[in-house]
Amino acid sequence: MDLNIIYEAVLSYNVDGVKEGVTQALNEGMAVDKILAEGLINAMDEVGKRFSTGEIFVPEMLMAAQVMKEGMELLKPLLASDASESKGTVVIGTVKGDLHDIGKNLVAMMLEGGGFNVIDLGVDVASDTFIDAVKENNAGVVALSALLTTTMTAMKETVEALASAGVKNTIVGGAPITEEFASDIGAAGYSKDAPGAVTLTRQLLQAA
Amino acid sequence: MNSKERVLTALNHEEPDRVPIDLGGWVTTISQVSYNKLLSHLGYQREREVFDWLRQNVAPEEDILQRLGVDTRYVHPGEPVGWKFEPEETKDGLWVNDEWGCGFLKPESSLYYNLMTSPLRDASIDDLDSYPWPDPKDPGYITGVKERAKQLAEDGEYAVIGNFAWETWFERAWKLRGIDKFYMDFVTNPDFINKLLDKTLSLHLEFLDHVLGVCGEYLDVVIQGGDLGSQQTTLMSPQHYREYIKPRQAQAVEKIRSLTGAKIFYHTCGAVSSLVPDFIEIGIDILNPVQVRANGMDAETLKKEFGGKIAFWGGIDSQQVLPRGTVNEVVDEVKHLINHMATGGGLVACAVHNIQADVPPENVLALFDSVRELGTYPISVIN
Repeated sequence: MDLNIIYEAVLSYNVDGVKEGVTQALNEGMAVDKILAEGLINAMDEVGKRFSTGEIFVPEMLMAAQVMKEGMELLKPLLASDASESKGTVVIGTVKGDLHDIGKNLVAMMLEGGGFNVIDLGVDVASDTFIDAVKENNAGVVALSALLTTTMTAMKETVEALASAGVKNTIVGGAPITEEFASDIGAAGYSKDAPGAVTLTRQLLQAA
Repeated sequence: MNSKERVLTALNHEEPDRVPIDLGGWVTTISQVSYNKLLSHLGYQREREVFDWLRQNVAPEEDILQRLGVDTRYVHPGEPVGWKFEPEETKDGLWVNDEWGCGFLKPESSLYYNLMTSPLRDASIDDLDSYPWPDPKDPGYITGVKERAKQLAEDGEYAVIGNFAWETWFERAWKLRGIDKFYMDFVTNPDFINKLLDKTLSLHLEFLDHVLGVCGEYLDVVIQGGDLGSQQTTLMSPQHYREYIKPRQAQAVEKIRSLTGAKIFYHTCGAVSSLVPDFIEIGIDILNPVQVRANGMDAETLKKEFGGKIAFWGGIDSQQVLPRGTVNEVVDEVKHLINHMATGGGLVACAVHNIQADVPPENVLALFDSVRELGTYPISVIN
C-alpha cells in the first residue's frame, strides 16, 4: 500500500481517509514506525512548510493536526511504550500570568505531529511546575509561550530557574518575543512560528 | 486649529498644524496599573477605578487628557440594565459570566479577565435559534450617550469618537464557539459559521441602530473592529476572509453610513496588510492599531502602499519600545512614525493598542510629549 494515500489524506483534512489508510497499512503488516514517519510526520512537515510560507492558515493547520491526531490514536497503542523510543519528550506551557493558549496549542500539535511525546502543562504555569514536569518525564526540551509583554519577565525567570535546575534546552516563542529577547534571557532557541519550533526541537534533541 | 479640526484634517488626508494624538478609547487607552503609576509620577494623590473590566483599563480623566495634549474625547455606551458586572470569588480567582454567557476568570497572577468557557462549543446549528442572546437594544446602553455626544459636538473643541465596537460581532462569535472550534468550522462547517456570524452581526447592527440612532449626528469617528491577524500573517486565508468576514464588515459599514457621517475606524491586531485593499474597497476610513512590529506592517511600507487611501491610527510600538525601551528609544520610535507616516496627513498617533501595565510613566510622557513637539507640519525628516 502506498503510504502517500495517508499523506494526501492529512493534507486534505480527510479524517476517514487517514483512519482507513492507517488501518489498511497496519493490516498489510507495515511497520508502525514507517506508517508514522512516511504517512503522518511527513504530512505534518508539509503542513508546517505551507503554513510558514503563507499558503495555509490557522483553520487548515488546526484541521490537519486534528486528522493527524486521529491517525496517531490508531498507532499509539502499537508504538513502544518506552518513551525513549519516541523522538523525545517536550514539556510545553504558557508562562505564569499568561492565560493565552492557541499559539502554544498549535506548537504542541505540530510537535506531536513531528513524532514527539508532548507534555502540555497548560497556561499560567509556574517555574517549579515546569522543572517538576521535566524531571518526571525525562524531557529533552522545554517550550515556553508568552503572548503578553507583561509576562515576558516571567519567561525570563522561568528560563533562569530551569537553567539553575540543570535544564538548558529551553525554547521560547509568542507574539512579542524576538530572537534578541530569547538570546538575552539565555534561551536555547526562538521560533517565530509553530513549524519552526519543531525544527528547533529536532536540532536540540539530535545534538543531545 | 483646535483638536477637532486637527483630527478631521488628518483624516481627510490633508496636513493639519501637527500630528493629532489619541488616548482613551476601547483599544487606545491605558491600563489601571500604568495610569495610577502615571498619576503618582505627576504628583497626584489619587487613583482611578477600572472602566473596562475585561482588560482592566481606565477612562483617563480630563486633567490628564489636557496634560497629554489628547485631541479626542470619547462617547462610551452606558452600562446595560440586563446584566451587571458581578465577579464571583472562586478558588482559582474571580469569575464572571458576561452578557453573552461566556465565562471569564481572573486569577491572582493575571492582569486581565481571561476567556474560559465557550457556551456554543458543542452547539448544533439549530441551537443557535434558541440561544439566550443578549438584548442589543438594552436601554442602559444609551444612558447619557446623547447628552455626552451633543455636549462634545457643541463645545466643538475635540474630535468626538463613538466607542461602539461592542466587543465586535466577529470576536463575540469565536468567544462563544471557542476559537479553535470556530476556525476548524471554517473548513468543516461553513453553514454553522455563516449562521453564527449572521446572528452576531444582526445583533451588532441592532446595537448600532440603537446607539447611533441617538448620537450619530454628533460623532466624528465610530470605532469598529475584530482581530484578523497574528504576528506573522492573517489568521485565516484571504479567501476565507472574503467569504466569511468581508461581506459582513461591508454590511456594518453600510449601516453606519446610514446613521452618521462619521469616519469608520476599524481595529485589527496583527499582520493584515494583505487585507487593507479590501478594507479600502468596502469603505473603512481608518486602520488601527497599525501593529508596526508585525510582519509587513512597518510604517514605511504601509504609507507607501496605502497612504492617502486609508488613515493610520496608532503606530507607536508596544511590543518592545514602550515597555522595555528607554525614553530616548520612545522618542526615536515617535520620530520614525512621523518621518514615515505623517506627510500628507492621514496619521493619528497613539500607542499600538492599550498602554499596558509594564509601560513606565516616563515612557508614557515621552510618547505624548514627543508627538506634540516633533509632529509639526510641514514635516521635514527629523533625526
